[in-house]
Amino acid sequence: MAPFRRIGFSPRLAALALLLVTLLPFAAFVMASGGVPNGGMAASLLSALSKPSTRSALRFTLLQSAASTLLALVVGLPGAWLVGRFRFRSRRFLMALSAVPFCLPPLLVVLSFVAYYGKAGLLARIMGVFGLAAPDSGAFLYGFPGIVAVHAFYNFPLVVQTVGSIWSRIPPSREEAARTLGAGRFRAFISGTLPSLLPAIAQSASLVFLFCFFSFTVVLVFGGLAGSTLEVEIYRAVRFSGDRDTALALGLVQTIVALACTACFGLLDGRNKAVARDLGRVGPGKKPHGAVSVILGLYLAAVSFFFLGPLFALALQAFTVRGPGSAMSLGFGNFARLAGGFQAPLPKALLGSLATAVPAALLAVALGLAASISLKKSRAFDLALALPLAISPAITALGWGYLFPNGAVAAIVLGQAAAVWPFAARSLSGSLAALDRDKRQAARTLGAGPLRSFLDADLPAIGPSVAAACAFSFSMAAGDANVPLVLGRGEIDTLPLLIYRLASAYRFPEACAAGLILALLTGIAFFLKERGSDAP
Amino acid sequence: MTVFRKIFSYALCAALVAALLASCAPSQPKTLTVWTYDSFVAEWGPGPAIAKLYKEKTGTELRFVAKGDGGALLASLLAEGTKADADLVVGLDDRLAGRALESGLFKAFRTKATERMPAEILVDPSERLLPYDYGHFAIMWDSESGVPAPASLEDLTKPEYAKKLIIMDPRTSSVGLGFLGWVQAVYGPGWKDYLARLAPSLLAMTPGWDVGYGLFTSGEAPLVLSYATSPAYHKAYDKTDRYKALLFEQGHAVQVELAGILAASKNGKEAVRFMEFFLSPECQSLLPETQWMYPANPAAALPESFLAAPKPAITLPSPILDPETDPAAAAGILAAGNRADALASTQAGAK
Repeated sequence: MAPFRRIGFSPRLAALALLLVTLLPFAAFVMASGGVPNGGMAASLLSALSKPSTRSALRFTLLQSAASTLLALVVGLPGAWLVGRFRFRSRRFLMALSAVPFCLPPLLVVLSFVAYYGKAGLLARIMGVFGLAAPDSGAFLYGFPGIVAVHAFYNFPLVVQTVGSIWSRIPPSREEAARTLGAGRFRAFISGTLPSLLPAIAQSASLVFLFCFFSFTVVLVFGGLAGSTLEVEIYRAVRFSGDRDTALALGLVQTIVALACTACFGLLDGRNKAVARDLGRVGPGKKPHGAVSVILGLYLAAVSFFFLGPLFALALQAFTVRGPGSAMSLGFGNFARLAGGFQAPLPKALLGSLATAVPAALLAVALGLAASISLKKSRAFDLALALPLAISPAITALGWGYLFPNGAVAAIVLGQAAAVWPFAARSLSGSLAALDRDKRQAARTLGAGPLRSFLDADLPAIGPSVAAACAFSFSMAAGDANVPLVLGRGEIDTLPLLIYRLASAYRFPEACAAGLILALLTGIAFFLKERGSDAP
Repeated sequence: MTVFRKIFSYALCAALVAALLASCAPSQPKTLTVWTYDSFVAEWGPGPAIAKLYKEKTGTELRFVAKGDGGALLASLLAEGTKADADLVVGLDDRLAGRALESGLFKAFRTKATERMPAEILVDPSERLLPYDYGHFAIMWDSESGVPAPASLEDLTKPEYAKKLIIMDPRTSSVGLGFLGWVQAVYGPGWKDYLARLAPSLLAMTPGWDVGYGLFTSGEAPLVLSYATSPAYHKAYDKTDRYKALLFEQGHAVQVELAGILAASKNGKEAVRFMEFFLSPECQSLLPETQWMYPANPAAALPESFLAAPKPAITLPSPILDPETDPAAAAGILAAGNRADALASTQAGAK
């Protein structure tokens, strides 16, 4: 083991590497746009801001993000309370739902919403069975309410999971102490539990806000007539106008606003790391009874109805085989066509997905670990993690495209790892913060180098968290269609690419079938993560 | 032990270097690189069949590189310019061809095959971009929806079609752009008024044809903007006549798909040979049941399913009047009209 002792582990080097990975595609985009626009960046920025289309896009972006975040909180916080305070059979399942926004390609999310809430959707048919007139989805789905609803319903599990995990670790003793001192139930909650919860609420709200801020497919499909966000404007500027100067200016506006919002949320978040370390392991939780079990039942029913409904509709579409005439029957026909038809695309896509997502996940976790260890848990860390999340995905993907014009497997792996590592880092930082320093100190005093002490003392302790982060990163990478689409497929094929191709070729039910397989793949990985650890 | 480790590490380095060199090695002389869009290279697209046939005939390998959709293809091409690692580009839309031609990246290619092609699809007089297939835009109608079939673009603005039509966004979809051209061809300077009148009829304006058509076949709306050849697909695969393409008397706009040889290509001769093959009846007959468009070469055989597809009698020339600003203006008018209508209906409902 002699060589290892000599290998130092420089935190600054790691930080530099991460910064490079983040900013490299952005720099490539700027270079490919012909460098900084004439008149400098500031002038370009001001001219972009002066355009009414930019201002209305910015307004719409902020409005829909705020509304979606609010709705996600309203729906998610009760769930967080249930998950945090009580122990019930479907608890793990409720926590595992937070996988969905990350793992399913947005196209599938949109399709499933239409399959369920649409005019001829499953909900309409169910209501028809009960003799109820279906709600006019025309006004609801294809407009601002539709965008907010999709965003909220697909992000609320994140609130449930993030806030719920912290809530389950807050000992009820604080509240009980306040009650013995004479405070009412509500007052006890405000002073006892809420201060510890606020950072988690802020963190989850911040993440949901960023997702909605950069949301693309949902706004493109449902928002066509309602309005446009900055991300969509960037896409249009590059794709159809070829106007990269505008795209760059819009991207900067977007990044600045996103960072500002993150900073605002961060004001509440500052104490989160301290709280995680103070709290112990997950509390056992009470079994629900009486009024609480009624609330729980209602909540689970609502989640099944509104959230699982679209997924179920998607699954139904996957099994719907279009027969001759207008006959529709249930069967495995779509899967058969995908798996065994002419030049069966499914096995190749499945292999491709595994071949890119597994290395990407491992790389992302490695980068995330490096980030978590090297950067002190502070504002710098939060900013370092916030930056990749605040850069337009469109620009990042295009930047990777310019760096690797002929789309090799390595490029896809790199691009996906770069997109996923901030989430892995965030997922790991919580458990790293709760790490026992003493073991590592002991190893150091016995003469082990920094890397060795990390491997021997810390790694076994955070092992489950690392495995969980791997599963999580794998799900995100497997569900990503953005990176391979931009890089140009070339030799490799992945499940999300297959889904997009099927959707473009009249083969809607088969797209849903492929989507179902993807959802199962990522869902299994995520469920394993939940079994592996209860850490956030 | 140390010696063994040294040998191992040297061998590893050598292997890595070899792999690096191999990946940088230029492609063998008998390979043509063709940039195209995704659905062309799909398993059910024409790409694989064409590559197989061409290899059998000439021994040359065809390497198709999918660059996303048509818009992304053009964007990639313009971004890379002469550094693009491609010999040919297949799949440029005729309304966006102007930008492609301005770039000066293409080389003229003269062939006898164009002599028999219909005049309306030969959009490039300089013969740098040649048509390989085309299709007329048409409104598709679900005959089982209970909604009567409109007979013209003007009909679509009638109140009975409120929230019954799905079209595509002209800013991001070539089909949407084609619709804009169609409207401009029929209404001339009054096109903005027409769009304002059409706005209440729209259920959705989707970013691409795929989502829009998916919504249509899911029953979200009885009318969708598509191609007059769409019924052929349903005839061939679903064996149904349910979805019909409506012919309007005033005529239809057409979309022409173009291919061209890049001037910077080092395999010029081979590229020319491929283009001749690509426009030959043998290869063109592979296109209808994969692209669901008419082959440019009229000598190509049409499959039986195309009997179900009506062919419009009149093809309207329909370039976009102002390609820089019209798409955004059109989208703005449709959005404003749709929002105003939604506001009015909610106010009416509230009362």
